[in-house]
Amino acid sequence: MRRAPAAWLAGAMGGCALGFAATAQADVSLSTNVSARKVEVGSQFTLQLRVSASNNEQIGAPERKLPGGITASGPSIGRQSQINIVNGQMTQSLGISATWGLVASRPGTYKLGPAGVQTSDGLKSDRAVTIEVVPEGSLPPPPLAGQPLDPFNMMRGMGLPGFPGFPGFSEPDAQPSQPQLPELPDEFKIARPLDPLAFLRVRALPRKVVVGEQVTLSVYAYAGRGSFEPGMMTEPSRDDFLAFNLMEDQHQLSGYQFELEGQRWITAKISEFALFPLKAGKLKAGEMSLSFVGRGYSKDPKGLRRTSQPIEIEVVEPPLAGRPPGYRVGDVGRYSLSAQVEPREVPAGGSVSVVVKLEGSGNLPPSLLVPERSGVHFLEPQLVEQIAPRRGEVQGFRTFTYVVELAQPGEQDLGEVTLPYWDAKGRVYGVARAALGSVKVTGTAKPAASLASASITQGPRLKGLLTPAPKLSGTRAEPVHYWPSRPGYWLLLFGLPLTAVLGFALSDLAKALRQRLSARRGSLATAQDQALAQLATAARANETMASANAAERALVIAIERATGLKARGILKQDLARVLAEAGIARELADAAAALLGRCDQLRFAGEAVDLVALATEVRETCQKFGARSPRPTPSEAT
Amino acid sequence: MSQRLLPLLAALLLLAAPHARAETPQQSYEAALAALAKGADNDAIDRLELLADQGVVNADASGARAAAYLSRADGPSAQPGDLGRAAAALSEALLLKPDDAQAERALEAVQAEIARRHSKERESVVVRPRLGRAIVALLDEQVWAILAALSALAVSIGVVTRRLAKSSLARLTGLVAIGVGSLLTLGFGCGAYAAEEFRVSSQPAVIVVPEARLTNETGRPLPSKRGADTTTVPEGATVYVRERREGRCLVEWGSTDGWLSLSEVRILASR
Repeated sequence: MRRAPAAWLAGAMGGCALGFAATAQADVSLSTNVSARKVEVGSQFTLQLRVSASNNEQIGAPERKLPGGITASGPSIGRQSQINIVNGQMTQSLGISATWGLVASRPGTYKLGPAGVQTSDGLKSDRAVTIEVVPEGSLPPPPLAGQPLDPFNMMRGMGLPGFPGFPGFSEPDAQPSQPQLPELPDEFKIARPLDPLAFLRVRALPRKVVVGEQVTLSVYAYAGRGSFEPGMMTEPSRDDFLAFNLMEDQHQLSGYQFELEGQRWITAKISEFALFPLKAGKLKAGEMSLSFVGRGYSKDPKGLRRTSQPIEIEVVEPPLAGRPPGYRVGDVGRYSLSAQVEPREVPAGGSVSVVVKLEGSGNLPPSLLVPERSGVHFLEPQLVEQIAPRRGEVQGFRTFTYVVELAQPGEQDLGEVTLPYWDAKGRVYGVARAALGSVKVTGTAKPAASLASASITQGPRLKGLLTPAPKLSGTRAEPVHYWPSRPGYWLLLFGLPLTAVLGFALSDLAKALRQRLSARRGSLATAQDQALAQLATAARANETMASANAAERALVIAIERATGLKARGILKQDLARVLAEAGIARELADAAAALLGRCDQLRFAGEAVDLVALATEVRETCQKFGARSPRPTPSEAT
Repeated sequence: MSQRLLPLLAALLLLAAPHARAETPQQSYEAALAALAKGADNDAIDRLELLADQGVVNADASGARAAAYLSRADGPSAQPGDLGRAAAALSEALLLKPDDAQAERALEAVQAEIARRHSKERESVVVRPRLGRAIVALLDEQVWAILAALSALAVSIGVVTRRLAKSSLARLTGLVAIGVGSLLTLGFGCGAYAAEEFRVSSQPAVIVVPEARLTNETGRPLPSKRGADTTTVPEGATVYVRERREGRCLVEWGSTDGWLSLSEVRILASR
């Protein structure tokens, strides 16, 4: 998209369409807009030609005719293509907008145009537009802050050459006069600038709505470097929303200036839409871009491009509690229904016209709940509607014209047309109703041939397949607690056999350990007996070294059996104390330590020792140790 | 005086306002049956659908909903998908009350009628499920679980008998119980686990549009396999929803997986 002058902005925003004429042609349609019908000599205004054509149509360069006294620059041309898919049929169309900047040099009434384009059928032209040029200074002064601005040059009066100055605002390098700024409306106020040069801000009110409730989305432009000309602009994103342009009928924009953090800013609301969310969820909207063209913003002729951050709107469904039957999600607003039935008397098989008018504000639904009666058949309605935003709220009416076929003779009560809705302001459901009254059906009923033929094509009747229970057996089914969903089940499933196996395995292990322990104890006693026997033999044979060794072995085994301590690993001088700490009587501990000491002496000076007496002493000591209840050795315990 | 009257007036205005009145489920059900009896099928459907939306999970309500859709499908105001919605309601009724013979017969009749109406396309509403799902569907999840528990008990008794019995016959019996019980525990345990996995990771649903085209994750239609259309799911067919994302769902239909719009399926309520 190319940069366009301010007129493009105005056109896109649905600004004032002062001159509009559409040429209904087969493949090409044209419309001409002029930014002002009454202009001053020397002031700039614009002429815009919009062309839309089917994709296969060849469109040439736009042309325009101008009278003397009017000079033109441009045109600035923008192109866009659009694809529509309706009922599976894809159509593509091409659009061109050409904008000329015009300046009148003398007063008078002028006819601009007609403007047109070259097509395959030749030159297609729109109608001419008439303007009045008045002497300079004849028109009222330019708008002040807070006053309507000319949307075709929204920064008019802000210091641009050729325009009167915007009081209190001028080019950055100019000396500002003493401003008396009007109060900035709350909707424009910001805590801090989002960008030091220029930025766009999006506001959505409210931020949490139900499906079908109106959200007002506004986009504001803030410029901090003096006057600018709006360049390329896109519309705010609004996927998942039904949108109504609230600024379509707004002929002028309101601009304001204010000071923030020592900087002077210009702000204007550039876009405002009424959005109706089509589904629940966190929906985003409001991403749009605008180029700020001007000396203070960018040297690029396309200007300084700024994009707004999309805003997130939380959309939920209205509550289920209290929801009336037949309510369709999205029917949100405040509605009323009125109905007219004509005629009130028809022959059997004839039809009456039922006109129902739905009025109100909000998202007006496209269908109503019609009564169902035997012999009364509502055909699809014809719709006429007039729905538009008014004072920021979408409202209007939609008329449903039904043809109702009446088959059964007699006084037929048509019942009432209803529309359940959610009143977002009152946070409550409501039902709009319109009673239709009764119609007198004369004559006799005609045979239902259509029904008979329908049943043939449909095959067996399905209606009688089921007989519903007269009452609910319980409003809520008891939840089933499936065993596999419980962790305890799986624990039990595999734990039970494993417990049995492991139980027996542990039992066997314990038994084996016990056997091993007893065997170990038995082996120590045997070893002690053997050592004592060797001691006795060696003593009788007067073999000093053998006696010392056997005595020492017998004592060590006796100590181990009684205390579990391995005496060879303990220093001799500590032995008595360690034995005493292990629960051995002090005398016995001292005796054992002394005997082990004598065994050492025997090895070095053996002949002087009475070996038989030693053997007796060792045996007695071993017996004293044996009198204690045996304790398991550390190795046995493991 | 006027200050006292103001709240009274406000209350009167509130009463006069056309606000909807909440009904109990029983009242809604009876009102739906009354509407059905006088031929107001749409009204009956609206009431019964609202009952389902409000979380009333009941076989009778599902059955009545099926009756309402069948009544509308038989009448002049029939809408596409009515039979599919009836099939969904009947499937739901059978899930909630598996021994409901009337619902079972009606479901068979509805599926036959859908197949008859789609006879040109030679579509079948019922397709062969995946082998794993078919095996697991042989028994109820709870039955799988009970059989697995009994098998585990047999293994445990076998271990004890094998260990404690004195006679060789008893010990042999214990050994056989251990072997057979272990195999059965493994088999039934796998069945219970798979049944739970299928229940937790997927929900049964029924197609409620005349036909639904399976697509891939990006929304492109799945290519058909040679010789059979395995990508167009007929109305009334049962699928299993495995994942839901942004208005779409990943479904398992027979041996084919694909994405559908959530509006094309009705997910069945279960206990």
